[in-house]
Amino acid sequence: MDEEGSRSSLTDEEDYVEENDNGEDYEATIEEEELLDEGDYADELKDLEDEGEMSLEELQRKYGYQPAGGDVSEQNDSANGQNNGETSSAPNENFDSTILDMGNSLSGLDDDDDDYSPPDPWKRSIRVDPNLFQASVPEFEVSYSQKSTPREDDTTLWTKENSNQPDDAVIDKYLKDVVELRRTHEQPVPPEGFETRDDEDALCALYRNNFDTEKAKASFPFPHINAPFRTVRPDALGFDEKEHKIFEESIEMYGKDFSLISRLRLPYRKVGELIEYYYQWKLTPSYRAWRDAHPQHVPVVQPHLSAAWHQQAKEQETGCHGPTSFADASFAEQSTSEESSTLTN
Amino acid sequence: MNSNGPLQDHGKRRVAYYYDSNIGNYYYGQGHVMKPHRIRMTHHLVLNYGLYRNLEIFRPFPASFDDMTRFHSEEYMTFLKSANPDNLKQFNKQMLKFNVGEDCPLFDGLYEFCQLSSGGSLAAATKLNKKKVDIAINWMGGLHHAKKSEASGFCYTNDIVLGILELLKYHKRVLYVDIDVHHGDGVEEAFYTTDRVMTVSFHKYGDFFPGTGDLKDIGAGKGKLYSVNVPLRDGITDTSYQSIFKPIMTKVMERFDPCAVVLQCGADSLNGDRLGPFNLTLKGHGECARFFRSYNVPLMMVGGGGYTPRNVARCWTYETSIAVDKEVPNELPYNDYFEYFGPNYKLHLEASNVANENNAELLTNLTNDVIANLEQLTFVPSVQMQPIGPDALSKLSDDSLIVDAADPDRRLPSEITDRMIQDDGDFYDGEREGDDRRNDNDAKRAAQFESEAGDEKRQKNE
Repeated sequence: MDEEGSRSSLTDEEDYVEENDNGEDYEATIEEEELLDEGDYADELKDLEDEGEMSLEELQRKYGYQPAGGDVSEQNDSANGQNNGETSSAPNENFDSTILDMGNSLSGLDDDDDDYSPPDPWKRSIRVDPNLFQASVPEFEVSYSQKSTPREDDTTLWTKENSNQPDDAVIDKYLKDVVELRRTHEQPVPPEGFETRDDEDALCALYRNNFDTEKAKASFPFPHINAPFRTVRPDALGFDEKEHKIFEESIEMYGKDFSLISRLRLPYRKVGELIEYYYQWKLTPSYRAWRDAHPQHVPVVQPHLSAAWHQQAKEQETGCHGPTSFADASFAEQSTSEESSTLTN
Repeated sequence: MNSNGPLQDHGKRRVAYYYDSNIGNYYYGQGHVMKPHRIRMTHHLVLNYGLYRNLEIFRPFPASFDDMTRFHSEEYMTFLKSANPDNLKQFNKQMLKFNVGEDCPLFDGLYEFCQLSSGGSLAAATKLNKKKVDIAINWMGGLHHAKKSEASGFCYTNDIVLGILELLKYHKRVLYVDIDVHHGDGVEEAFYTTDRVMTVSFHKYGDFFPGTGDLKDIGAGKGKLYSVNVPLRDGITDTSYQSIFKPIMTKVMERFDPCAVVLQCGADSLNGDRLGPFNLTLKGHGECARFFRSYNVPLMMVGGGGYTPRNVARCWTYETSIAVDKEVPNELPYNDYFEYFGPNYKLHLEASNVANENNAELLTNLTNDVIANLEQLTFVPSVQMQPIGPDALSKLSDDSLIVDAADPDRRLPSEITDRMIQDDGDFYDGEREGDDRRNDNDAKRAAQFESEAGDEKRQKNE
């Protein structure tokens, strides 16, 4: 079979992909072969099992944890074992890392990437096939017809279209008044000296009241017009002491896997809420204290870590930044962001 | 019709700006360099610099499934819509097929993220189609690596291709210009065989992602000569960059005469980027935006790469200020994410002293080669010997005017002399007598191009 050929060339990344893609067929293939050829499967199966176990151990040793849903990697392992049983030259480790990378799971912080050499030469060409790769270019219409754009309208939050738009001085005065209004309603206000900074909600109210500052002020309190209503529940409250503590603990445990943190520790928080809170938290003294207590922090558990991508490792290598693999890069990111006074992300 | 050369005034432009605050709440994953939060940081700077009130602000309607399948395959979009971190195991096969999982991880809210990014560019294009604004900005977009049925380089759906497809309904010719440090391969591939879209990409080439973008890649079929690639090396500075950007883009504007322009403002070409090895400052980067603003042609500006978030926010804020033609002070205004901009809290970046591997000779040759290709665009044999008609643009860039008016006792600026290419068979002595290796038409150069390109260029230059 063709697969035999590709298996022997295990240095070729393309073949891995091909093979892995057809992973579902392995069972059938094995059965077919069993019918064709009456070999002693006992040994072969034992080899497979051994190898399967060995690489699992290796996995655990290498990654220091049991994958959240072990079945996938197990499946992959046995597929791997079968291959190796047939072509004994297979570098097991290499194969594992490939599969796991594809599975978007772990190897980001591992040394495996050092073994990988990018497809050589680092050159590709544009593919031409109108069905597969090119866009189909629409006909040119001379004038704009409303009917051909069924898209729903965007929400206008502010515009200068209106001819009676006030000048800057009027807007500044209005914004100052709004700050006063906010203060009396115990809403957050900008720091002293920054009262005339553009305020999305106040400007939107002004626009929606046809630039009549009095009417606009009368409509106070303003709705939060560009709130992240998809990623944050509209009724979400700020984080309290207890949640904050869980949040810090979770970051320590799982790193910045907000999806996992939401699922395991803060199920009533949407992932977006955690991400938003994370970026605010990074500005607080509480973050600095946490950072000082966890220099070069590496999360204890990293189940969903985005896997290494080799071109980035390559880019990092050729760039002036130093790290030679993605693994280094992600550590570098943590340490620079956590050590220097500047925040990088 | 639309472009009558650059306007000399700083005319008023109506500028639309598309932003959805959800965008900052998506996260690619621990250690991933792509951080959508940078767009939120940009927005806060735009607000606090007081640029916001000079814009027209819209929250775009998210792109629908049907919107996105105008370019992307249904199978790919169905996958993006249904896969999420909790069920990814059942999508193993598709993840490989669509290249999702490695540098393009399957993160929480991915499909929504694509809808917002693409929705912004579609809305921007629609707004330009309606002629409601002169410039439309979508910093959520610019994801130029995404292919028809494949994610690539942190990009899943190609908002630029979708936006250009929308523009093409009412604009005969659309120009796409990409100043991201990476080659704009997704957009180039999508329009590789059409002459209605010209793609021009300036990028680092050689041992670098995505590996496409060779000078020799010029398009195919009807699209031949309509893909332009300017491969560069590490450490390029503002001056070097503009020395190649302006002559090439001036020629493009002249020959292609686009009815609309899309500028991808990838900020990873700035100094200090985590992935990009270029050495541009905001000024050199922003100069590209200023260049197109000076033309009276509908302009769409989108984001793109940029992996040092604070610099991305600086860059796109500065370019927003260029679009509305407002000077902004170098001192950054206080804003919600002020601490991220330490330690200096200034807008502008300093160039570093990293070596510029793009020497003048390399850049001159590159410019000449690219321009030689562009010269072929409207080349019709019967027109060959006729002077090119009057055109505000050619006046500005016509070297002969400068040569004619030059002081004979002074050496011409090298910018001019570099473009004086002599055929070896010329009998008279030009500006450079004798051996001039820089402009030699040597065998290597000739081989890089199909032979007509060289011949024609020499004829043109006689």
